[in-house]
Amino acid sequence: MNIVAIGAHPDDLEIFAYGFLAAASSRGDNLILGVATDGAAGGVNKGAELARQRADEARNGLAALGTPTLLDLPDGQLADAPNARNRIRDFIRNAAPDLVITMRLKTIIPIIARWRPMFATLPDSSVRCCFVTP
Amino acid sequence: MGVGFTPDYYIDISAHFAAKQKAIMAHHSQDPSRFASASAIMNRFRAAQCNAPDGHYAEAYRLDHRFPFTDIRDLLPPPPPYRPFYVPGSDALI
Repeated sequence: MNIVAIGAHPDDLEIFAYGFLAAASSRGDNLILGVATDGAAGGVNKGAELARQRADEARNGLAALGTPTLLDLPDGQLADAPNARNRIRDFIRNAAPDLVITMRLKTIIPIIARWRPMFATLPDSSVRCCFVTP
Repeated sequence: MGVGFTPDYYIDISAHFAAKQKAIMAHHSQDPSRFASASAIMNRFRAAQCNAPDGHYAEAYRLDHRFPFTDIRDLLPPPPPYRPFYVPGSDALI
């Protein structure tokens, strides 16, 4: 079974869904991991250097489960990024998931709300259900 | 931390909790011990909602259904085992 998991920031999948993903991986599911933004706004020293560091941290944090696709969209500006919706949609479509895990649709990260209409653009045969974590 | 969130499915992550903590701690730039602590509280609480004793952990989720409805619970990793409450000799929390 193909499971797509998408977090908004480089550490979200670890904090919110690592246990689910590890359990799925250990029973043989195929995980397709995505990180939407570059995380450049999440620290004291914001910017490109932080984004580079966080990319490494994301790969290290998820190493036991797979290599994440870093969509590299702008942290804190996802709602305004002109290509964000297409990038995320294409990432999900190309993975042909049976199940999508993402974050709660009303969170401290309001841009996630933009993801809901995106799911409506997927083929009905693709995603049976979206599974949401707090 | 789950405020205002109503889960409808729980996953037993006890066997993977140590790996989860290690994964969170990989994010050095984020002062990650605060997230590891929060995760320990949250995942322990979610297991306690399943009447699992100390040392057990769970994650909680909601199913966001699409048309056409289908029950996907058989696709998911299992929840903590059912533990009736107030059974003498049981390992349950309550």
